[in-house]
Amino acid sequence: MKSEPLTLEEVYLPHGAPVFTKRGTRDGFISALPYGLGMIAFGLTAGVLAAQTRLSLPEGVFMNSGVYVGAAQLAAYAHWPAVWTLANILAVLLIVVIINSRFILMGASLYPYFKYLKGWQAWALLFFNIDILWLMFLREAETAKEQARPPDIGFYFGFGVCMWMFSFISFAPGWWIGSAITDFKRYGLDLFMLMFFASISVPLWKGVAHARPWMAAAVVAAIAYFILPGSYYIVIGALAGSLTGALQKT
Amino acid sequence: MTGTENVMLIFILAVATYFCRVGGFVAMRYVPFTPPVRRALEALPGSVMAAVIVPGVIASGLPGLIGVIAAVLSMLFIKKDLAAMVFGCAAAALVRAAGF
Repeated sequence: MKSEPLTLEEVYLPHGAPVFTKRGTRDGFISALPYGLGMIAFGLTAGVLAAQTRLSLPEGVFMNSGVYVGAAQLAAYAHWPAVWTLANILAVLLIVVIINSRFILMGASLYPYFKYLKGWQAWALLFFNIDILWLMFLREAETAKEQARPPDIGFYFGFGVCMWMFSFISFAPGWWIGSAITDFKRYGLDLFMLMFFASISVPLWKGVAHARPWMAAAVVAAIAYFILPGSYYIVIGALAGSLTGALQKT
Repeated sequence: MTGTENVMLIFILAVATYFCRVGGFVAMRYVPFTPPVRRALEALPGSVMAAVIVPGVIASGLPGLIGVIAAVLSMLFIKKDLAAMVFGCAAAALVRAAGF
């Protein structure tokens, strides 16, 4: 019987500690370019909504680059308080934290790769984390394993910076367009992220036995979606799946 | 809300978002890498995706479902995620255009 590999290195990094190369950075940057077009659509939307929320352009740019993330930013605009009261502030803060709580789990799953970095480097890289970047980096790590080489954190960096730039550049035109609403729904663009998650989960599929945690995540998330307000369902479902994985006999 | 209040709120939200981004990574420093923790971490990416996709499909109804099926099928056959996304969105848009 094969004994279970126990160290983090054996599981995640069979071909050595992650590297950070210029080549990987360039590859990451270039592979992000087509996705950047999707980011433009998003940046424009965020700009439009910020203008409708009556944020000034510098305020909006600060928001878009600081709270650099899709869903949470848009939800924050939708719940932007009219007056500064503790209840109002806490409400919008809670919404943002709930929607972003999935990043806590994503950060945990990046730990095996980022733990080799100096503290500040990991902290800097994590600033750029968004769904698509996380997914693409996991895929890069998977490819690296197959090609018997260590994963390249440069890929994460290049991809992340490229996406951030697209977001930054496209925000202002959106803000200027202001109230000229573009009909994203008509072209199915509001479902862009959903389609992305669906397509990228396909290569992750490794058989039914392996997918038991996913099923648990799906069922619990669906139940949470119906019985709880807001988007608690992502983090609750993901935790249920992860827990199922932990309890599973291998 | 005045300009100063807006900026203060944006700052609070940005800090909260950043804590979410680094929180999980920092927490893992203090979690020993035992077999259950390893399996929990391994199950995490797929679980996050499942928890996004399934309620997403429920929320978007038939267009979302058909779109996801189209995306998965094109991923199986042509293995290009960007194309799969375009097909997924297009399929959803078609179903919506058909009146669903």
